[in-house]
Amino acid sequence: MVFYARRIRSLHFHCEWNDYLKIHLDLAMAFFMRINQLNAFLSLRELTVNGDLIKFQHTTLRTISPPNLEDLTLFQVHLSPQEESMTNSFLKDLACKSRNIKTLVIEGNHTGLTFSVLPKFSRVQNLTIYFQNLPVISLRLLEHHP
Amino acid sequence: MTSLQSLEMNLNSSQFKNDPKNSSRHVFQFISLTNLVVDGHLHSVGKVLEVVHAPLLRHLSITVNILGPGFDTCTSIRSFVPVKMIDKVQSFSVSSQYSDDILWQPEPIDFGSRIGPLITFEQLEDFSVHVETLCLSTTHLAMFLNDNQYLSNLQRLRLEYDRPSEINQSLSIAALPLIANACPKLLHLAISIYHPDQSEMRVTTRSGRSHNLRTLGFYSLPDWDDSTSLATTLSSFLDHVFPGLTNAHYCGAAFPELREKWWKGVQDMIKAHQTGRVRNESD
Repeated sequence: MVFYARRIRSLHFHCEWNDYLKIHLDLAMAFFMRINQLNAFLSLRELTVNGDLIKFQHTTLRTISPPNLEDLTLFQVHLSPQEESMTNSFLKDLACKSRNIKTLVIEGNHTGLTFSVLPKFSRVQNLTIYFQNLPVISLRLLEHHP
Repeated sequence: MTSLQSLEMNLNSSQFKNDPKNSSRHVFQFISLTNLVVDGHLHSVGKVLEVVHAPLLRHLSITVNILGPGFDTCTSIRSFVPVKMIDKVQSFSVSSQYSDDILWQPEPIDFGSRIGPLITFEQLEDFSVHVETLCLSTTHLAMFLNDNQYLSNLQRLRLEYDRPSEINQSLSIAALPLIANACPKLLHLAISIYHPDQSEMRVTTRSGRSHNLRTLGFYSLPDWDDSTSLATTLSSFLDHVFPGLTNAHYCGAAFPELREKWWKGVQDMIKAHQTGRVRNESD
């Protein structure tokens, strides 16, 4: 499996949450965690996280550390403050592990908590974001600081 | 973010209501930025454009929600796009997004007074209108195209509205040759046609210059019959106005399957016209 996983270039997480699925997803994520320990995601270039998966990302997605990731897309709607806090940790973690991210897309009802992490993605060239009731001064987080 | 070259911001959920005092006096430096896409209410778009300093900016794409706060009949482009950025605008879109709690039928939007005055970008290549109800007759379109010569740089045009205010205040098929003449560089056109007048399609003389339009989409067409004779007339007319057409299709949401076969016939006839012309020229 690790042999094949090392060929994965694009990974798309899409999940709708319910308790029944949780059992299977926990199993799948345990598998991801295991192959990640064996450097299975060396070739991963594109990661998309869509939907409710963020609800259990603290035990799952944070286990993935793709060093060569270039594109990250996050679609999350109706985020609670607790879930956004997890998103914040997830992004912080990824900014350290994946230093080659060049394209970042963040869609959803994210607030300043998420945007405060963005400067950590110092190599991002293409950024797509949804502003949700943020003051215009939030743009200072994105500007060029010599 | 020192490497940021392209920034796309959706501000539709943001009113920038809670701005600290004097925040708009800040100017934020985007030294590497070459492409900026801003989508939102006029007020929010204006605020962002006011504070962004991007000396290398080459492409600016703006989408404004015409029903949002800050938009009225006196709104001019200068009120929300800084002068230094006007010549960077290559793409401009006007949309109307209603909030979910609106139950009444929205007022028709008059193209001449509310949308037309906004379009004063000399470098504009892409112009799009997508609103619920539009008031724009073919005569008014002709006047608008005549008064705005800078639209000659357009490469992509979309005029989509879900219903006309009145049939007489809607576009007819006669809008196509007008657009062809006014926008010689146009490559992609998508349009809503509601007026049933077919008289324009009987024109037989070819205009002097050849047009290179590639794709033509109809969001709506009048309730014409789906006869073979109409398909023949329409294909001949489209080939006459746009001789380089590679794709003509119906892209409306309402019952696309009903006209699928008929449109395939139109497409085949357009190809036959083009093939015949090439053969005649080579002879």
